[in-house]
Amino acid sequence: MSETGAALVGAFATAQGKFPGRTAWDLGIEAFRGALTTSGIPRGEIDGLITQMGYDGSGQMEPTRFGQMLGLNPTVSGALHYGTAGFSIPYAAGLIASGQCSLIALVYATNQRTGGYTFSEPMDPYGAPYGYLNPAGPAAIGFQRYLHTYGLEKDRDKLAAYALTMRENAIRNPIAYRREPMSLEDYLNDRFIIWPLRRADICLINDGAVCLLLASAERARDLTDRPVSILGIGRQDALRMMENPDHLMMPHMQSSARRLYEACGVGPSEVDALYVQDAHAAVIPTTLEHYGFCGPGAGLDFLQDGRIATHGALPLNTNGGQMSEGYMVGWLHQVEIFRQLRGEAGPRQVPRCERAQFCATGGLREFTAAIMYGADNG
Amino acid sequence: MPQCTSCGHVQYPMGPVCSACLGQTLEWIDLSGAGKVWGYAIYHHVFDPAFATEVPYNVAMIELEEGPLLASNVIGIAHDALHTGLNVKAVFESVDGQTLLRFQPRPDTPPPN
Repeated sequence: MSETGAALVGAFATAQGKFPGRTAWDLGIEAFRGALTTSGIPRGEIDGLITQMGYDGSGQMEPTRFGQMLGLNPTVSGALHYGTAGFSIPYAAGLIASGQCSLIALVYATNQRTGGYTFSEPMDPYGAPYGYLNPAGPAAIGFQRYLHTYGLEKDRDKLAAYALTMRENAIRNPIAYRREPMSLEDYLNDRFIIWPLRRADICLINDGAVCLLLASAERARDLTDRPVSILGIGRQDALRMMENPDHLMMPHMQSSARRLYEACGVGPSEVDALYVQDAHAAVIPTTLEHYGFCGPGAGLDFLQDGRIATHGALPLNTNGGQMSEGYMVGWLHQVEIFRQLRGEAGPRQVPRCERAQFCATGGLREFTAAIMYGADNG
Repeated sequence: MPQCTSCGHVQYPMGPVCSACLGQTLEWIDLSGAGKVWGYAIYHHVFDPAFATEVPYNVAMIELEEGPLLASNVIGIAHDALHTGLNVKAVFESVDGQTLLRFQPRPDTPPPN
């Protein structure tokens, strides 16, 4: 384990669902307490607080107010403007690498379901009058272009393999929100929300919270017998967006991929389990391709025949993903990675899981990130 | 749309400077209105009551001849006839007292003899 690196030493997720009467703060505090209790790490050891603020405009989880509720005076506190897990963790790792913090609590919590939030904002500055609303819009357009580019229009329903595998995984996950069996017939009968995306291809909207504890490599060994190390990080922002060629096909993922693999010296063939932040199933084939798990245009076929199942060649989102487990913008994937690399995933355990990769994008594809995690072999 | 007088870049989304070269002089030019469909999607779900009577409607990324891509609706064509590469031209429609920029199919121009 690199002595300048960082490692997860604790992780906790609340149940995922609809919890009327509970604020995001309430859920976030439950996750924070859960992380401390399950890791055995005292609150007084924490010297950093990073939160992700939700999208619902409620201002809950603003780090100052939340930190005040938790009774913290961290060395550093903050929240990114786009602070989903894939971006907040690199931010935290940077604070640790520079020596500003040695043990950071990262917390995300939302009561967006109970609050009735529908993600119906316009997807570009001038898109509102044309009905270009909701992040499934750019995802759908990108997926249509992808299908056209590779001559896959007739194969659109091969995407079903993703939702079906995710539901199977969620059935083995006690905190998952949606655990009713789903058949191919159920999927094919499911209505299109924004063609070519069906409702089953789009993430849930639910309440819940996650807390992670990220420590310096030096402290990690004292805090837990099995830290989960960050081996490398890859990033690429594409702020020019639609002024970049093929922006909605996310070519900039390849820059994150290259940086990640160079940073950690681990390549796609050595990844034991892959986690992708899946707001929409459309991102999955493209992520598989750009990160080198299969060739261009081969992503849809890659999802077939059990290849991505927990005992398949490349287990993907063993937790059930955001269509079935819960939509926590990547935070739940980190909890699952923590469990898998410590051998604590029970019925979802990937055999000999030592390397896990996480990939994320921003909703308008303006940001990409990837993190490689490794089990501590002592 | 604004065009940079230094490098010729057509700036969309509009901004205070040219995003290609940071040139500070942008002049509004008339575009041809011609473009093609880069990609599209069909909205079935009503995300805002304003569109309750519009669904199903399409949203397309239009690639203009001059370079920019913008989101709009393609009218005058059935949804199942929409496709990437369809040639379109701009049409201005009055909706609730506002002018909206939409696109309609443009017949292919035959090559000159």
